Amino acid sequence: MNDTDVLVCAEHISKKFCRNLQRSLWYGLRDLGAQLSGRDAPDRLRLRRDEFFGLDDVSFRLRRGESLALIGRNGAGKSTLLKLVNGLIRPDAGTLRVRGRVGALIELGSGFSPLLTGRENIAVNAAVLGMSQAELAGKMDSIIDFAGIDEYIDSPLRTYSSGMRVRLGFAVASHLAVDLMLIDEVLAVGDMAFRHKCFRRISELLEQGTAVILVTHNPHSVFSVCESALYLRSGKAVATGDAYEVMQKYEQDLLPRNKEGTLGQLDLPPNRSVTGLSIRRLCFADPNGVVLPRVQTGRSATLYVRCESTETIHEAELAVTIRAGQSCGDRLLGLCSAHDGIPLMIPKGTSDLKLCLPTVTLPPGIYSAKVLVSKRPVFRLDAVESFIFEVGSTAPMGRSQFYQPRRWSIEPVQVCRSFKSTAADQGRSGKLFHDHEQESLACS
Amino acid sequence: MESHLYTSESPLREPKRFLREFLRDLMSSRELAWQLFFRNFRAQYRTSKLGYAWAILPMLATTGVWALLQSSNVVDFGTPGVNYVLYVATGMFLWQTFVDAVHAPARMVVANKNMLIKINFPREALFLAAVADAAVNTLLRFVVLLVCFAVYLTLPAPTTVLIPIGCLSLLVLGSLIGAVVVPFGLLYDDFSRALMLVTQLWLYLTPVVYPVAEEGSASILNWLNPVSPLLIASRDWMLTGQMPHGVGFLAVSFTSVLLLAGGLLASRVAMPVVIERLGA
Repeated sequence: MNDTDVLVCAEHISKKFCRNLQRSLWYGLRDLGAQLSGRDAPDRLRLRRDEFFGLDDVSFRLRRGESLALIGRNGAGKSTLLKLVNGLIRPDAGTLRVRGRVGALIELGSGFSPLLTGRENIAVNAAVLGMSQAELAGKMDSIIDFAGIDEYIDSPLRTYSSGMRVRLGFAVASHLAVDLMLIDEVLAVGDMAFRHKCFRRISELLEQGTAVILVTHNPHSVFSVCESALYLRSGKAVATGDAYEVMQKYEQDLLPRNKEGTLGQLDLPPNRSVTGLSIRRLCFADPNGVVLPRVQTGRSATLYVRCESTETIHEAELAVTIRAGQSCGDRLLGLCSAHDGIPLMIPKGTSDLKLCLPTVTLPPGIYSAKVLVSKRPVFRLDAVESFIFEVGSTAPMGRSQFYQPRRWSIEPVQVCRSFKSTAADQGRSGKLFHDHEQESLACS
Repeated sequence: MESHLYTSESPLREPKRFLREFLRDLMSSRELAWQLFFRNFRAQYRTSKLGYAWAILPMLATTGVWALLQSSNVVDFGTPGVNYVLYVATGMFLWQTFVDAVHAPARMVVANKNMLIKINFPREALFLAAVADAAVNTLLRFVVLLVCFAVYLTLPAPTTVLIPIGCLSLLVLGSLIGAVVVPFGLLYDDFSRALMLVTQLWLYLTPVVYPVAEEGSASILNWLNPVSPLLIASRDWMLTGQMPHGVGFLAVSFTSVLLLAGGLLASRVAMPVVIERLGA
């Protein structure tokens, strides 16, 4: 790696912002005067009234083909950093050197005119993003194809749905031949299929040597695109380095202890439900019934749902939905006893409903579970909207989205026998299940 | 490979680099300017039945009103040897060229504010597109002006061939004022409102609907008013074929061209500061 590979070099950059609109405009006017007179402003780092540091002494480097995720809570300075790199605003201190052509997937389709057709808008948008008309001519078909809205391409943009506009915007922007691509949470919109397409496209860009800076809240998009990450908190760089480690640090910080009780266990007050059944406690425990502060990937875990009921309930069901992150993430698991054909009978008094997971396949991270106890067919007895728990890991995950219990082996095969594979396969998979059965037994 | 260095220092402290980047952006923004102009051109009147008539109507309406006032003796401006209607029409044509150029940059920037805040593209393109838009409107109005001459069976003077130069000077002066006000106007509404008021009053202080005062306080005003020499000279080219105001015309034209370059450079310095305050 030599220095010509460094595309972004930020050294101790800081940026001030003002909370008060009136004052902000006034400072703006004064800064304007200072810039136009070319005077040196010696005290640019001094905070004036109502000002604060949106970015505070941040340094990082990005080389060709590298990808950096910016993570942090809202208002941590992620978008500000992107704007600085994009050259939209200037730092108040420090130096920022950016080499090469920069493209931005920020607010896709700003500059679209609702009155023009999709095709006309592609031409304008491409020009705004710095694509020459000659370059565009060769890419027009590919752009339209990527956007996947052929039949609407000659209709005015105002007839488009918001999703279609985003598709069009992404299609144009992602066809830019740039050295550095800035991506700001745009992937949160659009349907699943399109999001996957976007990620594939980003991976392609990375392979072609484009560097990528990605702002996101979704841990899964971080891992699928970025090797390294920069975690910002109130404008300061808290952690930087390997994406996985930085993300863990971020999630640790975010972890709100469950309101009542410790992590890994949620205790609830009695009689919170008028239906006669109340959930009193949620926790994960190991096969011996010992509460787990943290579930381990690849091990078994049992979710205990302690209920208090004033009467016996026949035909009860337990539904558990697990989402990534804290309640807002993608739904990863949706489990329901009724769907599995397991009838539950909740006796009068206190009892534990148990959901045993012989192997936890969730990757390490923070998750939230929604737990619903109801009576068939649709009578809701009690529910807990968000039980937050953490999954840790000692099991090797590789670069997988979820943990796959597995076993590697090798077996010599004689040519004539390979056609009888069905029987052989059954034998092998039978072995694999056997392991699980043992663990399942241990659960119950 | 292009390279940018962003620091807190005013780019004016490195004038050579600043000028080089300005020229590079100006050159590279032509294609974008054309696209933006073309977009405006096509989108502008898609939701209007009268379409480009709106570029012409203000000039016709004002001319009509003054012609009516003059013919009914409410006002009595003596324009010896020249038809009053043509006098006002020519004056309004030139004045509209100037006013259009004053407001065009601000209109263009406000219409594309969102893009300006989110995307880094050569901002000079917006300016070029705005001036191009004003120029096209001028061309349309010129056709209408020629129709007016035909209606009154009057032949424009041969010096009319110089009119493009007159219009260009007015465009330069107008867009200079517009470009300088834009950054301030983005910060405070007051600037854009003030600009509206000023241009309205300016019309009355410029000999558009009344003849040029040769003496008295009005003639001093004429001296101070940079639009006057441009407008009077150009109108003379069309109506009388005489050129008594040539020196003033040249002086104002050259000064405006120089100042325009300065204004564009100043806007360039100002934009990042302003964008920051727009809550980018």
